[in-house]
Amino acid sequence: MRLLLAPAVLAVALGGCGGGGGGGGDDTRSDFALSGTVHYGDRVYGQLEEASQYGFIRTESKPVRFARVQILNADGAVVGEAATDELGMYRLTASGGRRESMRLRVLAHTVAGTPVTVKDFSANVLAAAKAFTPGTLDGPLHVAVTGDLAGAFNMLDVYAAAGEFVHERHGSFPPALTVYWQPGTTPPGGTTYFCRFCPAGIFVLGGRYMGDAITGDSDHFDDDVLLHEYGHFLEHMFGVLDSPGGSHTLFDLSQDLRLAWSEGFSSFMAGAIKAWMTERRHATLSSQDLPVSSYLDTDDGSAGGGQGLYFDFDAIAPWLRHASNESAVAKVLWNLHGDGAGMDDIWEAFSHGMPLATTAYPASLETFWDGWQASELIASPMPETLAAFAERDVRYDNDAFELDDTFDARSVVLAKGQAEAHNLFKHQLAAETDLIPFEAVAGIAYRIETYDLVNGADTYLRIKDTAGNTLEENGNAALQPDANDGCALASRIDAFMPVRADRYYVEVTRPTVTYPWAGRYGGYRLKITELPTEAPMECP
Amino acid sequence: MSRLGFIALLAVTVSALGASAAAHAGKISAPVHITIEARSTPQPGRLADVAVTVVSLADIPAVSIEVDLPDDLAVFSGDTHWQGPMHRSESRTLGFTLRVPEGGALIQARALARWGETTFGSTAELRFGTDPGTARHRMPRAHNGIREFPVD
Repeated sequence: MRLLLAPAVLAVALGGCGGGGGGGGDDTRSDFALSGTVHYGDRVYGQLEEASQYGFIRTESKPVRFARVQILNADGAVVGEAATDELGMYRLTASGGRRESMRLRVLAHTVAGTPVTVKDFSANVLAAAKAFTPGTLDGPLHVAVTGDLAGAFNMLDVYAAAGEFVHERHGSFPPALTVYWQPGTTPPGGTTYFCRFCPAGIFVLGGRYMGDAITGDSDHFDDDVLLHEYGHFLEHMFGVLDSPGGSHTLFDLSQDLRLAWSEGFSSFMAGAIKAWMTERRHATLSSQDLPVSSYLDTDDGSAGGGQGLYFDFDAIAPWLRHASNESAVAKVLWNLHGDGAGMDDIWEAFSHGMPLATTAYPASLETFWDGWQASELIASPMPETLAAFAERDVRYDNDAFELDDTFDARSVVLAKGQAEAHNLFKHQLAAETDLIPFEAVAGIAYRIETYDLVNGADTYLRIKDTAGNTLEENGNAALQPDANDGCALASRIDAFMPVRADRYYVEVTRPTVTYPWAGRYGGYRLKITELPTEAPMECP
Repeated sequence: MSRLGFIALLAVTVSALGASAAAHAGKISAPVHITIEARSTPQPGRLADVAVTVVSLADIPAVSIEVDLPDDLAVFSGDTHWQGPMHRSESRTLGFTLRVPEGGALIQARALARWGETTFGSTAELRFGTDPGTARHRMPRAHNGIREFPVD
């Protein structure tokens, strides 16, 4: 051991921080020190000169943080290993001859903080390698990863930062994340996505080669897209991922509640992580002069990076509302997030309260709210919290008729032709029953219906007499309800004709058997219409 | 798991999932769907009719459709741009005629939907005789589960 160490110390002393010392001389096998930096070319995005256009505006050198660095000898054996630090610096000691051809290899794999690995679609870890000869080095060995391969290290950096964000929230780093990507290649699913089991990981569009350049849609520099998918990864690891997945757009107001939650949460999480990066890891942020709540997905991998999709979920149109719209869900969460003070509460409800609530119901904005209510650690005041939901017309609150749960509670009858708005929500997670009295005359037919259902409401309608007997009932007017579009889950009794004049009650509840894509808390309007006693004359 | 096993798992899973990304939590799609196609088999040096079709998946107040053609490619007739509002499920087709270049070309058609500051783009491409190349040709060989790319 003593004999081995002596030349090592000498070589380190000769080489300083640079490496193997001066050139020439013998090729005695000895230890040598090597240091340097690893950087990658990141694409910064922002507003282009053309008005209202967004895309990549420049390339910026950034450190490759926490990545595994290896030295390999001519035989391909690893003779030294270390990791880059926060600044992309590495320092290691390796064994080899001074004239030996070696290579420094930087793996797209982090060894500190959250373990992230970028692999190709054949499960090979991607790496950048630089050849060198120890004896010819007279200073540090710097590595600059440019071009499309830099995308692998951009993803590594984005997800390393996201892991740090989680660590601050959760007290521990998230489990290992694998990213599947390769330059010029489209993932098997045809887009960028998180998959739970095929195998688990984030699959990223790599564009496609056109000549020597990558063109078409690629996402390895689209940090907002990458962070959106990270939101799904967090759902899978810390929360509950019940979404059916598939294609989805921001403008769809009648989404499956599980899909709307999952996508809205993930868009929100991209903004929340960027808000944290602005404060704590500003150098890692790739967006310039854009709100952290904005989302940009370029659709052209070329240097200009044309804009594919841009929106700011803090400034979405007022008509994008309800728990069945993903952009409204993102906005509700952003409202709760506020200046960042609400992130701890959101994380608590998401990671602790919500998994308990979802043992009985699918993950949606409703079960997030259940988790929020159930948690004793959440400190946000209730009026502000409800206002954050109400801003997008999500009413997880008692309605104006909350004293209508029993037959004697309400004396004001619903007039024919008038409409009332109710919520099927009741505090303390209790089941809601609305009993609405109306006066009916013998021999007159009445159509009684719920309509304008919102926030995933599903109604069940019963007509009752004063003794509580059910006279007629209806679950869904539609034969095959399939969407939260306000109509499909509505209920209707076409012609209730009482045998005697009396007071009757419309009872509205949630159905016993529900659809997983619908909800429990939504709102509805109720209307009673007196039908004509004679059929109108029909013209030829 | 071996890499062969991995690839087999990937293939089987994707096959089971079908052509769509169902069961995948995918990225946000644009509310306009665009396609571009040649209406007959394109022959170099001959005229070809091309159709660009955009279908709106929502009520959108401002949609613009643009066709990006190489400088040396002449359009003989038809329209290569349009803008206006589109209703949900509405379809709009631009048709034009061009001469198919001898050396190949790439035509990009793009639909951009706007609602205030919110914009959504969707792109479709049509190639004439151009070899797009493949990633496989350009990838260095992998060894021991690591694929190294040489850098400077």
